[in-house]
Amino acid sequence: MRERDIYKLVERYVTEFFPDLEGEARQHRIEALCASFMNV
Amino acid sequence: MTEEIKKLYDERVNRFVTTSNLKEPDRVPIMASAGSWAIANAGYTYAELLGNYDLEAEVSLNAHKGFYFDGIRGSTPLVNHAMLTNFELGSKQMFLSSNGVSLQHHETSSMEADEYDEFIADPFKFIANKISVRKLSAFQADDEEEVYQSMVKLFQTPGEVAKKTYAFKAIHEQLGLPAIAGGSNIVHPFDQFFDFVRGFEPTMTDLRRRPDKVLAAVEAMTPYQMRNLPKEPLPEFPWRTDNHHIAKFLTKDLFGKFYWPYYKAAVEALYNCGTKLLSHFEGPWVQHYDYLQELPKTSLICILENDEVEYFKQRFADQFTIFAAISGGTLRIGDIERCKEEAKALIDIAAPGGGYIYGARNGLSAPGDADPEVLRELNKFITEYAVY
Repeated sequence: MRERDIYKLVERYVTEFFPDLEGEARQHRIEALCASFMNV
Repeated sequence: MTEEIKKLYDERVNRFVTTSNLKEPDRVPIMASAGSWAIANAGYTYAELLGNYDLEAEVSLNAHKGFYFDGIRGSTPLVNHAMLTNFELGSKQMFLSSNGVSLQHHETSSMEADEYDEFIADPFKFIANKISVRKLSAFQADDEEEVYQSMVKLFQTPGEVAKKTYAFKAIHEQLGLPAIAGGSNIVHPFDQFFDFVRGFEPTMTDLRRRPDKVLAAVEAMTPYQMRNLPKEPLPEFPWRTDNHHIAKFLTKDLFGKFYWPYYKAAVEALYNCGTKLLSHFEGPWVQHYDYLQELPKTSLICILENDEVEYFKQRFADQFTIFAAISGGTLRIGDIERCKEEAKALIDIAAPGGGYIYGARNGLSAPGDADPEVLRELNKFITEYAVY
């Protein structure tokens, strides 16, 4: 498999585990989690 | 921490802080360099320590006791326990050597040459939707809920590992050894792209064939890393640290274009917040010295891997601190008199005026990298010789 909508799952994770985050703070958390995939 | 240990700890911190401000402390501080060498030396393998937090703490304590060390590089434990989750989820980036002695790295490329535009348009979506799936076989499962649960496990593992790990705390509290670097590492966006996205060979080829695309990809990741730089005042010590992988392969011009802007911003951000960068100059950096001259005085502690210490001291004695030790080859041969001679020559060059930490350029990793008795005697000698 070459592609999958993992980004959508990251958004779901942030909604579930960081429900208070909004706006830019929420977006930054999503980006940090996505970036963490690089080093796995 | 007992009063006696606290006194030792404070003395050691003072040594690092004084020398990094280009003043002479009571003597040159000595860095610990235990890596997987410490594990092998205790008769264990990396594989045996993975997931075994008690054994890790025991091995770690023994590897730092009685060696005349003044500090350790960071609070990172001896092994990366989170690897167990990565292995479980099908990551192939790192692997254990067949004898279990060491953790090794697979050279991989997770992006094709024709995918630059997509990466540049939205690096985070690209990393999530393409790179993660290419790296983790668990993300290729048919059931989306299963993939989500794997992802939750991946994200939760570092926190769980941190709760269980106490090796550093044991070293800190029982031996009074400070970690000289803390907080999150400074990561250069170009190193990130080089190490984890395109990989070594493709990136080097792209620098010749499509340099503008490479630069645009690095710039697409730069705002994220800029955001991670500190903005509020920080304690002067411990410092932050970094690793550089691609810098040594860059010409002076390429360094200036691709690497210097973020590096300079990172060093200045730390300096302006009141701390310094412990910067690992992997490979030769001599071709980049003209750039470094622009950086503030006392902003860097430079771990010199292949640079000539004497020349560096001539250029930067009034600007930066040197972090260097005798060559790994000399230590490996194990002739104590030869080790002492090399250490003496190094200290005579690097120590005057302060701005010097005796520390191995490369951590000890293989079982034969150092005879523990030779290391002990050498460090004892340094505590006596490198007195101001």
